[in-house]
Amino acid sequence: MADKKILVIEDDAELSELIQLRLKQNGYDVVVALRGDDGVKKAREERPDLIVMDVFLPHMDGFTALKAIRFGEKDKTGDFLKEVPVIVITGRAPMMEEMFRMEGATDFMTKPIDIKALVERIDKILKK
Amino acid sequence: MINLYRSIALQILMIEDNKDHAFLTLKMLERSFPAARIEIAETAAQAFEKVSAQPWDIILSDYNLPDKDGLSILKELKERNCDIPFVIMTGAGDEKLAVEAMQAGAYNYLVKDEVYLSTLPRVIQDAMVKHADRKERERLQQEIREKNFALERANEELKKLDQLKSEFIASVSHEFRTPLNSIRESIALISEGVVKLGDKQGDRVFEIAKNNVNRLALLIDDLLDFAKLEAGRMRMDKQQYDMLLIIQEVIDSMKGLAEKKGIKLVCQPDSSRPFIHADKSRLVQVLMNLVDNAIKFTPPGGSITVHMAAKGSQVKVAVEDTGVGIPSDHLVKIFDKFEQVRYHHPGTEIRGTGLGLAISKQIVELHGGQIWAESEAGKGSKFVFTLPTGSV
Repeated sequence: MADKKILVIEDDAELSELIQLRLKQNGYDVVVALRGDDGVKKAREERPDLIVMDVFLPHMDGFTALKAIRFGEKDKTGDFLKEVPVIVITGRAPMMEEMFRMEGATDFMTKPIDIKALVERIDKILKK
Repeated sequence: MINLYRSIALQILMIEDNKDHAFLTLKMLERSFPAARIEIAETAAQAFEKVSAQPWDIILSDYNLPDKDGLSILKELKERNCDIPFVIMTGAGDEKLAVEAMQAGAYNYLVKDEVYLSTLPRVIQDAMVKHADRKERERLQQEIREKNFALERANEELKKLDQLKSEFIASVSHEFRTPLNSIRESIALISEGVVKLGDKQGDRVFEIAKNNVNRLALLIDDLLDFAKLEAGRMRMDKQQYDMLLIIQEVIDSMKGLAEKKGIKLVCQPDSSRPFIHADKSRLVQVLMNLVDNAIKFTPPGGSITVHMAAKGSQVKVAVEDTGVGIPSDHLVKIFDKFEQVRYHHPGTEIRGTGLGLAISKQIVELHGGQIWAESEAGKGSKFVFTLPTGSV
């Protein structure tokens, strides 16, 4: 079976590099997007098995991006993007998780993220 | 009994239409209060005239007057907020009226019997003491009210500052953990052998760790600077410098960062070459902070201009950008400590302690200058500071 593909939408380039390395070490295929709009595009093109996304993103914020991923144009395979698990890396603002859950977020982690804990979370969701 | 008012220039107004009574009372008053100035009004109308004309220490009024009675005079004075000790004199058998007068606010009363003149000095003294006591009590009450009010306000301010401080600490600890997290992860990747130093990936991870160490160091420097400034322990090592050279130096060191983001950074000085007496490293810190902020909030393709103009004994330096601008109600607050936590740009994350402007403000002020921001929404912002020029 091919490696599961994770899309990481995170604007801190160094942090996303570290996440990528750790995920690869754990046998995942990783795609990185540094901008919100790019994340939406890559989500459609790459058909990831799971998405990890930040809230504050340049050019398109995480909230808008998630909405676009879930309820935007359908890709060729139909409702695929409605099913993909999305882990949102939130700040500390109250209500934030509630807002994201309404737009279809699957799980949450609070910043700053512990990358190893993130890997464990992904393992669990994808039942690896 | 000791006469407290013997040598005091009391202003006594007597309202009395009976000439005999007036004369006797006057003589008695002159004996008891030799320093006093005493005037007599024969009617209520005359009395009001005198009350309007000058201040009085005490009014001594007969009850029966041709135009009005003493009680009406007292009531009218009260209505006019005229707070003069008032002693009413009634004929024997009119004690009921005296009681009424006391209820209306008279300080004392005197029944005109055979011995009333001998008790007059004491009655006046009592009224004066009572009045002074009351005044003092009122003054103290007012003072307590004012102090309470000031305390309440100070308390509100402190509560607000405390709240800001808590938000600030939460935000800063978060800011500290972010680079720390990256450092920890980088070290873990290397020590677990996931990447190897010497090959491309390993060296990159090492570089990431270094970058985050620097980021953390900047945060700590900010915090330490701020703590020093707050405690008044920031030492300034001031020397004579050419302002333009300092600006050039900052522009040279920031140009790379600006160009990387596609922003033009230029200097526009006037023809003057002002010298300033300053701590160079601190002044460079201020300029770097302003230019760094401008780069952060200016989109690619924009420009940042550092203006310098000397006038009189002052040089004005302005960092102007073509960025997003600042809402007018934030222009002053952005220099307040801890406030940045609340006024960061929507949709962006706070990076850094947010103390940069508060620190810059204090540094400029320690140089005898001023700093402020000007902005029109959507038309960029301009951060201006002044410094005194010339030698010390």
